[in-house]
Amino acid sequence: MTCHDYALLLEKYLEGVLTPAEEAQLRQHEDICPACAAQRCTLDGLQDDLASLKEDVPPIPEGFHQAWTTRVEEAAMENKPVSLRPRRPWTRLLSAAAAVVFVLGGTLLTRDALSPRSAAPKASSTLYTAYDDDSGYIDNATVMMTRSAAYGVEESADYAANGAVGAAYGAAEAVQEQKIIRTVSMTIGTQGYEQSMASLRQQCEDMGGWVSYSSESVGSSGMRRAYLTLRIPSQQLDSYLTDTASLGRIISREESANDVTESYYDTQARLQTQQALMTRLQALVTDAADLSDLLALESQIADTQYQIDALQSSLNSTDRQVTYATVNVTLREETASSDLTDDEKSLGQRLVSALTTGAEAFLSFLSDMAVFLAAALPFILMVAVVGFTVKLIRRGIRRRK
Amino acid sequence: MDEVTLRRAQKGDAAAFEQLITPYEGLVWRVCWRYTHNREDANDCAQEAMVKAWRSLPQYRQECALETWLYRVSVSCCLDFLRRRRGQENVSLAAMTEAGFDPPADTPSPEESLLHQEETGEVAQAIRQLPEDMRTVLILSALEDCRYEEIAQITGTPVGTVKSRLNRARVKLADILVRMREPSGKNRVQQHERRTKP
Repeated sequence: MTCHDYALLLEKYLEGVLTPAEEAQLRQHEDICPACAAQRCTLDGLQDDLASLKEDVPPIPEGFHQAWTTRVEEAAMENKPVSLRPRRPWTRLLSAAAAVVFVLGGTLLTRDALSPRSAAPKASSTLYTAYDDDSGYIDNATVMMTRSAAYGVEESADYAANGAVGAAYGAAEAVQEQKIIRTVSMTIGTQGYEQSMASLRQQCEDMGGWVSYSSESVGSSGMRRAYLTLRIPSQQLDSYLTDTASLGRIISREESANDVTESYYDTQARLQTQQALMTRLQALVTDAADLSDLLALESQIADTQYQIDALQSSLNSTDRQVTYATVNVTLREETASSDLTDDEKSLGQRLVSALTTGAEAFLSFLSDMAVFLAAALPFILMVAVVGFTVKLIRRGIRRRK
Repeated sequence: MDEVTLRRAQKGDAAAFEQLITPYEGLVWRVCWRYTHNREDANDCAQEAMVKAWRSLPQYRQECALETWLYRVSVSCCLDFLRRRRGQENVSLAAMTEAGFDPPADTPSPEESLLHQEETGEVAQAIRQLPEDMRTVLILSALEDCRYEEIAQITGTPVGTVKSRLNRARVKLADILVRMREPSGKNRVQQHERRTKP
C-alpha cells in the first residue's frame, strides 16, 4: 500500500465507514510508515478536539427571543415580507410561453418584410416590363413604334367609320356591330419552361399580338415562374388558346367576355352630337361681329372640343380592347412528379412530396426566425439591460431595508 | 412542520413566523456562535439571521427541510457579518495608520483583533483561520453533525465537493494546530516579521 492509498483509506476512516479489513491495511502501513502513523494520530486528536468544541456553546442569551421577535414584528409593520413575494409556479411557464409567442409570432409577422424572397422578383428576376394601358407608359421603343403605327391605322379607320355613321345615323343603329372585350387568365404547368416561354411569345407575335407585361421569379423550391400579359387579336384568340394548351398542363383557366356594345354606341352618339355642335359653333364664329360674342363662342368651342377629345379617346380605348383580347398567363415550371395530380401519384411519391415540402417549409421558417431574431436583437438587448438594472436597483433597496 | 403555519408566515403573519421558527432559534444561535465565538457578535448575527429568515421565507419552496434552509440562512448571515466586520476594521485601521498611528509590535495583528473574539481555546482560533468554504463544511459536519447531503444543500455544492473540502479542512486545521502548538517565541517572531513587512 502506498501513502496515497493510505490517505484514501484515512478519509473513509474519518467518515466512519472503514471495514475491518481496511482497518487492518491501515495498521500494516502505519507499521512501516511513521509519517502516516503520525498523521492519523494528529487527526484522531483533532477529532477529539472538535468533539470537545461541539459542546462549547453558551446558552442563548436572555432577551434574545424577545429581541428577534420584536425586530420581525417591526419588519412586518413595514409591510414585509418585503418584495420577496413567493414566485408562483406558473410564472416561469408564462414567461417561456411569452418568449415562444414572441419569437414565433414575430417571425410569422415579419417574414414577408424581412425575407429576400419577396424582394427578389422585383430586383433581379424581373426581365422586362411594358405597359400599354391608356394611363400607362411604354418603356420599349420598338413596341411603342409598332403600336403607334397600328393605332394610327385603327384611328383613321375609326374616323372614317364615324363619318359613315354620322352620314347615316339611323341606318347604323340598325346594324350595330357587337363590341365584346375578351379576357382570358390561365395557369400552365410545364417541365420545358424555357421552351414554353419562347413558344408563348413567338405564337403571340406570329398572330399579330404583343407582350404587354412579363415578369419572372424563382420560388423557394428553386422552380421558376413567369407572369405574362399578352394582347392577341380577338379573331385569333381561340386559335392561340388551342396552341398554348399543348405547351403543358393547364392548371386553371378563366375566360370572360364583356359586352360593351350599348355603352360604346352611346358614347359614339354623344360624340356625334358634340361634333354637330362644333360645326354650328364654328359657323357662328364666322358671323360674329361683337368681340364679346366672339369670346363667348371661343370658350364654348374649347369646352366642346374637350368633350369631343374625351369621347373619342374612350371609343379608341374600347376599340383597342375589343380588337385585341387580353390573355394573362402564369407559367409554372414543374418537375416530373409535380406534373402529376395528387390522384395520379403513388403513396410513396405523395409521402416524399409531403416530406420535401414540409422540410422546405421548416427550413424556410427557421431561416426566417433567425433573421427575425437578428433584427430584434437590439430591442432584446435593450430590454435585458433595463431588466437587469431594475433587478439591481430592487436588490439594493432590499438590502438597505 | 405545520403547513398552515408556514403559509401564514409566508404571507406575512409575524405570529405564525414566531411559532414556526422558535423551535429552531437554538440552531441559529449555535451556528452564529460557532462562526463568531463572541456573545455580542453572535447575538447580533443571530438576530440578523432571524430577520433575514423572515424576509426570505416567502422564497422557501420546501425543496429542503426547514432546518436545512435555516442553516443556509444562518451561514450566509454569519459570512456576511464577518466580511462586513473585516471591511470596517480594515478601513478604520488604514485610516489610523495614515494618520500616523504606529501599532506596537506586541499588539494583536489586524486579523486577530478584527474578530473581537473571546478566548475559547486554540481549536476555535484555528478554525477561524480556515478559509470560508472549509470552515463552513467543518462546522456543519464536525460540530453540527450535518450529513454530507445536507451540507451540499446548505452550501449549494455537490456532495463530492463537500467531502473533498472537508478532508482538506481537516488536514489544514491539523497543520494550523501544529504550528500554533510550536514554541510561542517562534510564533511571535514570525508574526512580528509579517507585520513589519511593507
